[in-house]
Amino acid sequence: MNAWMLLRIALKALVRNKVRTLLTMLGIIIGVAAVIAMVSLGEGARRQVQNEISSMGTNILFVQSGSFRGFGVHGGAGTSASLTEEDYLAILREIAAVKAATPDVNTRGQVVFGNQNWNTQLEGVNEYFLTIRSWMISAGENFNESHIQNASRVCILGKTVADNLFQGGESLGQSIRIRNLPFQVIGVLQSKGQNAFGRDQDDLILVPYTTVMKKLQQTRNIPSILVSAISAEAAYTAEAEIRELLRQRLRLGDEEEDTFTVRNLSEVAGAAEETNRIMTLLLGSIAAVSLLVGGIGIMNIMLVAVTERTREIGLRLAIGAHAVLIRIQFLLEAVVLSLTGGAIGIALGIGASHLISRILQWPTAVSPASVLLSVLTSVAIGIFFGFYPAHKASSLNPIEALRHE
Amino acid sequence: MDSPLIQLFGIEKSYPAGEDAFFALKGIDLIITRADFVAVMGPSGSGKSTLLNILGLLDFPTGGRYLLEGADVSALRKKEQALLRSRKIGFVFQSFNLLARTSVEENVELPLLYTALSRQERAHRVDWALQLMGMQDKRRNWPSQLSGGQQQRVAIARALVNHPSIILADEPTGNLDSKTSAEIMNFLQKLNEERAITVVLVTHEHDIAAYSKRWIVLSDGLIVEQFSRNGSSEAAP
Ligand SMILES: Nc1ncnc2c1ncn2[C@@H]1O[C@H](COP(=O)(O)OP(=O)(O)OP(=O)(O)O)[C@@H](O)[C@H]1O
Ligand SMILES: [Mg+2]
Repeated sequence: MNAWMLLRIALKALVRNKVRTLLTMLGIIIGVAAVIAMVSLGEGARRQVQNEISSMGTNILFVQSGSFRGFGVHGGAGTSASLTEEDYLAILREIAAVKAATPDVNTRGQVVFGNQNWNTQLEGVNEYFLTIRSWMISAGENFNESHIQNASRVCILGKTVADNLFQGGESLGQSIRIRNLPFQVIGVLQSKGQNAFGRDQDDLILVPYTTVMKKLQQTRNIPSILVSAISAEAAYTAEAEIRELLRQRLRLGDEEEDTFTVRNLSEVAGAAEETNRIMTLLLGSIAAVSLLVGGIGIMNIMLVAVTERTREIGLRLAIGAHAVLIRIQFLLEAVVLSLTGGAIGIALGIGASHLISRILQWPTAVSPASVLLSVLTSVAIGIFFGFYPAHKASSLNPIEALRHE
Repeated sequence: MDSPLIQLFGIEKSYPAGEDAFFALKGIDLIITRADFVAVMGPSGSGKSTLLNILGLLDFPTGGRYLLEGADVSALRKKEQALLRSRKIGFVFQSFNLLARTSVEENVELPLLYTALSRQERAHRVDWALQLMGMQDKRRNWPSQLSGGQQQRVAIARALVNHPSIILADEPTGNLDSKTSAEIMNFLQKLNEERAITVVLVTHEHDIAAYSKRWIVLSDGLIVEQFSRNGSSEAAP
């Protein structure tokens, strides 16, 4: 009697009970695959956001009017005392740690060329915007200083906008109408594709911020300013100094809260990380439920099989097997079954995760921890419920086992 | 001449029942020689199955001594008992107890999987046992495709495949009609006569018991009567 023989006995028993084997494995497969696929969804989104944020460079600061607590929650005060062009100029002029800055004045608008129509995001910025964001121009040129000073009606198109308005034709030098005013196209941006939240980053038009403020919106308010510090370390000094400067300029008393927000990228990254962690957790718990359901399924099938198997154990004892051999047989059965199920589950989970990212264009990343955890859980369930009843039955007197109803 | 196959001295079997104990066997003295064919009879609940299970080392007595081929086996450990079951004892059950969804030949091979026999030797033994029971042409069938009598023949082949010195059969014809019962009994008788295999059989029916050479009657955990085919009849001591 050797190990190989025991394995053969175990495999024969698994093949003999095909339906039970399959159903049990199915529980494990679904549980493992669900956890892996779900967690990979959350994990993928998390990584993509992190990549995007870190690719923006660590020395970027966001200055926004209005106070934000946590993620996008507006504070009470503040909206009345918005930032203005003077604040922006003061930041540039007075803070040594600032390398470049640009106002960012957003609006949406209808854009027309010939009989083509497109509604898109209008981003009012200056000539430093592209450098700060590390964006590239694929054709034409950036704004120059006089465009900004004169509030010229020039624009740089995102790839999506260019494609939709010009349908592959030449766009440079053409005149398009934005909110019914003619603008000259001086450049087209390189495509950046979707961001982590599935938004098309090429669906926008860059316009001098002065043009937006004077000709499109008639506003003096600048909702946000994008600042790049001279180095990553300088970002922290810059952050503190900008805050001090703005408090002075807005004449905020010692007890008053900020009516603006200065955040560096690591804070933004932290906030994004937090939301993504919650999402991963949520997806993970949904998957954990399916793992649980799978586990209950396994348990059910194993327990239902106990009667038949108890008689089988009684018979094997009667014809000369001793209890230890039978226990090893059942343990092997449970291990083979659980591991096979686990392996198929992993393959399926990874496959599903790839399929999701392919079909839904949603980034996924399989996390080793989720693979390990789900496999350990389901294999533990499988082995326990496969082995424990058998262990009990093999400790029985053979006659009692044979008589088992 | 070596010792008798089986010697029982004052075998008792008790089960705890509340304060005191219930005795299913109350002191059985019995000697079974090689190539004997014994029928155990008696009313329901008299302890026939209990006795047979003790003989087969499936159950252990709570008192008395059991010598199998001269060696005391009453206090053996489970592993050693299993080994003896595998080498010397073949069981036949009323309800056949074949593994479902498993071919006839694999069912017959089952006891051999727990021995050290080579693959060829196992195949050879299976062929031999199936041939003896006239079941070669059904070797690839599943038990569910066989009649009751055929299933019992497979079960007997399984009991034979280890070349046991004794076959223990607990109401082997209990689930069969009289014609098939006769057929099974003929097989057992042939094994006993031609191969000198000892058979101990539990039955309720006199025409089944009639195939044997010796009869013992149990009542309330005691042997109350013994007869032999050669006419000698004795009351229990
Ligand atoms: N595990 C047990 N616990 C308690 N009592 C038991 C146990 N097994 C058997 N008995 C009792 O021992 C007695 C003998 O049982 P046994 O099965 O040997 O009878 P039997 O002669 O084979 O009867 P039948 O002809 O109905 O099969 C019965 O009274 C039974 O209730
Ligand atoms: Mg009985």
